[in-house]
Amino acid sequence: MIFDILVLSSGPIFLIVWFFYHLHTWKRINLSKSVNVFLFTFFLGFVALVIETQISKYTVLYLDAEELLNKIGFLFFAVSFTEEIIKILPVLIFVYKKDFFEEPYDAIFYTIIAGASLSFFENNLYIWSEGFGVVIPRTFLALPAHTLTAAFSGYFIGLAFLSKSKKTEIIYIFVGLFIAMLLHFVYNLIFTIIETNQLLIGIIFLVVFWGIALKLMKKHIKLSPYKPHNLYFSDIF
Amino acid sequence: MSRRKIIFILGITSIVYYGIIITVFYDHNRWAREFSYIQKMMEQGQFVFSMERPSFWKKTLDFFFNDYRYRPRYQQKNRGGTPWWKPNFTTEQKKKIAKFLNKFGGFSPWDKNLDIKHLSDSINSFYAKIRERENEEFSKWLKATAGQSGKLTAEKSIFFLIAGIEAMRYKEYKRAKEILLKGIEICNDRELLANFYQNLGLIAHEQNNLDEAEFYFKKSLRLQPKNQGFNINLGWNYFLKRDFKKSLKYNKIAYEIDTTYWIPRYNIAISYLALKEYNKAFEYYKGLSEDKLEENAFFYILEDLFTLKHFEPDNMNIDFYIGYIYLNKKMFSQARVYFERFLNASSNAPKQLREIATYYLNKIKENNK
Repeated sequence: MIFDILVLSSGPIFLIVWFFYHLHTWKRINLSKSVNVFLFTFFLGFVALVIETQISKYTVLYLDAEELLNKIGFLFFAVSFTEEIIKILPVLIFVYKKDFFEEPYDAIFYTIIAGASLSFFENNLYIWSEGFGVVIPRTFLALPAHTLTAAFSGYFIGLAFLSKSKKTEIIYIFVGLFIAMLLHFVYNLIFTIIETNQLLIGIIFLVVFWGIALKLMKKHIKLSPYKPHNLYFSDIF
Repeated sequence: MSRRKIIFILGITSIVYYGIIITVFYDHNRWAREFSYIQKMMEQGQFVFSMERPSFWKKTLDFFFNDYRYRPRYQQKNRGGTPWWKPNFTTEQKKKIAKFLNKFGGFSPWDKNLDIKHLSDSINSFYAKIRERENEEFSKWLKATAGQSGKLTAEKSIFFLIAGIEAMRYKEYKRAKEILLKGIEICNDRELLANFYQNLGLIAHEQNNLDEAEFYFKKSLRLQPKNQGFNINLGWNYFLKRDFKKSLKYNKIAYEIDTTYWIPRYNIAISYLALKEYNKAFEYYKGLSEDKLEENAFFYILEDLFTLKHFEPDNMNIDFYIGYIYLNKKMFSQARVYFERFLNASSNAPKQLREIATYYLNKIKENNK
């Protein structure tokens, strides 16, 4: 039973990680470090769970609130912020500006790992509580959504890495966090508040923003020092 | 900027963020929210008190919502004006108790400015302290008092009363009785003693020992003859013992103490009904249209009528009163059923009742058309 759950919930995650690993054509990313990120984010998933339940317990912001504003407030202030900060923290702790962190795409890859890890945590949680039926919708909706928001924050961490001044560096990180928060909030809004054509709007949202995210990723990949025309003569000879 | 600095800034930002979120959006009524489903259940007529062994939450919930009027039919035996967990104390005693409870980090149940959050927190600590106290000192006290009760002061008897009430709330009646009897040994205050006996009576009442309950109710009434709740309790005890004359007597006393209170009035009504003085009973029930009673009060009154019907299933005149209550509650279809049943079955019924029933029945039928 436990084995079934693990296979079901982790399969899609390996697929998505495999895809982004191979998206970078010229470099082999350090996978052992990504395991660290994955495990640490998984652990932080429990922290997120505690924070979100405590906020919904002690404040007027909770999901079953009768007032719409309270619901929306919960989605924005509690869920989005907590989950997004949990996705970027492991990257900043284990990866950012370390020796193996060589290019902006690394930030995207590792944040995506963090996003996938959080999604893995949630998948397990939902499978335990609601049964195997949740795996398929979560594979096609929640996993892409988590990795999408992670990709945006990763893109901005990459920009921060490239920036020369300290101010712009921290600003980029916060902007990335805020944009990821917004996207996360909109996604949650679609699947909790909107009642008609929920699935259609959700898929359109994911397709559009994944298109943008992939474009941004390509931008970063182009900046890779491993790209053939970027190589110095001294490196070749 | 170094990695550590960035992590530090993010950490501080999130701590400040959560601090702001919790202070700005703090829900002061969160307990009420958590218990709102219980209220919904009550509104739907589902009685939470029919649940079995209570959990901690259930015990805490009981504090807010446990009221005799919500008890399921036939299980509701006691219906005193004062819920047993809020004994009738004088102001001085209340102050004493509040002071005493404060020693436990407790609360004063009579504080008008008490907010629900504070109350809930206090209850938690109160329970915890009581438990602590019980383990450490209380068992010692119990042992000590067995031979030398003189050592304990009267003030400490309040603790026995509170602990006894608490045990009652846990439905641990044996323990509650033991505690209350120990408390009586050291209590020298008349009003407090009355409360001890009253609670002992209520325990007996809960355990269906109506004779024992009568014994204790009488004792407490002797100490506090002008207590409305005590009179009502004794009256209702007599009603369940089917001694309707005595029930009428004590409810009349209770009614004289405070004529604005509706419970003794409708207890008098049902006592008259049980004594088959139908017109007198109807005079008391007439007040229904004038009184602005809570919704639950109607069900409370109905419950009594159904209890009487349970006692006397062949007395079809009771159906008239049940119909009349439904009519006042604007539940016309039910009223119609009971009026029709009354008119079809009881040819020997008083003329006045028959006339009223036919009048209302015709009106209901006209409105239906």
